[in-house]
Amino acid sequence: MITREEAIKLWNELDAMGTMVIEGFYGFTLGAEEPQFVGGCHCCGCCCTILNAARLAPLAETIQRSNYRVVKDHDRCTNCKECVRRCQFFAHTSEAPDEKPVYHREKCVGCGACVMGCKFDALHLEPVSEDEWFHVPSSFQEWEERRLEYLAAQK
Amino acid sequence: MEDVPESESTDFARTYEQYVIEGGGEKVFCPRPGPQGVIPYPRLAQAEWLKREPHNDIDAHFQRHDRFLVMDCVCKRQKVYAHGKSCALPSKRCGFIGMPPAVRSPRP
Repeated sequence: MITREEAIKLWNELDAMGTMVIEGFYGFTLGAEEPQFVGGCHCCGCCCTILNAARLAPLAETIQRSNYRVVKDHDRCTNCKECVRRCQFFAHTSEAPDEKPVYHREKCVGCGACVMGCKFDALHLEPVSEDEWFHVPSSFQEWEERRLEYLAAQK
Repeated sequence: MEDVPESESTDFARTYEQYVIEGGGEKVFCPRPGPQGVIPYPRLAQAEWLKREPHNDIDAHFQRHDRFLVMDCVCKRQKVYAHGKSCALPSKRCGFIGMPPAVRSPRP
């Protein structure tokens, strides 16, 4: 257990390392009654079992995507490939060394790690459209009911 | 990474990986909505975004509680148990900072 000041200090230290894969998750774990921050992911694809399940195994929606996606300005891109290095979900891929990376929106989870790493303002986050907007359950009960409805619909 | 106690079971670690990826993980994670969702980097979030989705406000979370539970990266330890080594990231903590379960309200 650590104090608030220690927690903020630790968080900022992890953030400053520049290796934060996903800065934060919300969730309903551990008995939370409403969606709340549960932690962040500072590890990488080589270790994290859940991250690997999300991006490699057939559990594509293991992690609920945020309601934001990256918009790329190709003219500003300098082909430094920092976005490729930062994205653990293969949303930025590089086909050839002298070609600018390609952004794959369908793979993006909307964390913004690539945006934070882009020194040339070629990337920024934008909210998705209302049609695409995912309405986060407002309570644990609603979350549980919606999961039960989902399971029932699969049968 | 510090030394791994000999009492830790490599078989258990490997079984857990297999469980998450091939077995139980699907039961836990696939029903929608998932148990966890991505919060965008707070420095990218605009005020109106946080107003619509207040659960994305990490700064508010830190102000809401006085004490926090921090754990070493369980996956990094898992990797050592299962495969003998892990990655070279400088921190042994993965950044998981949560509110202690004991002070939360019981589930309905």
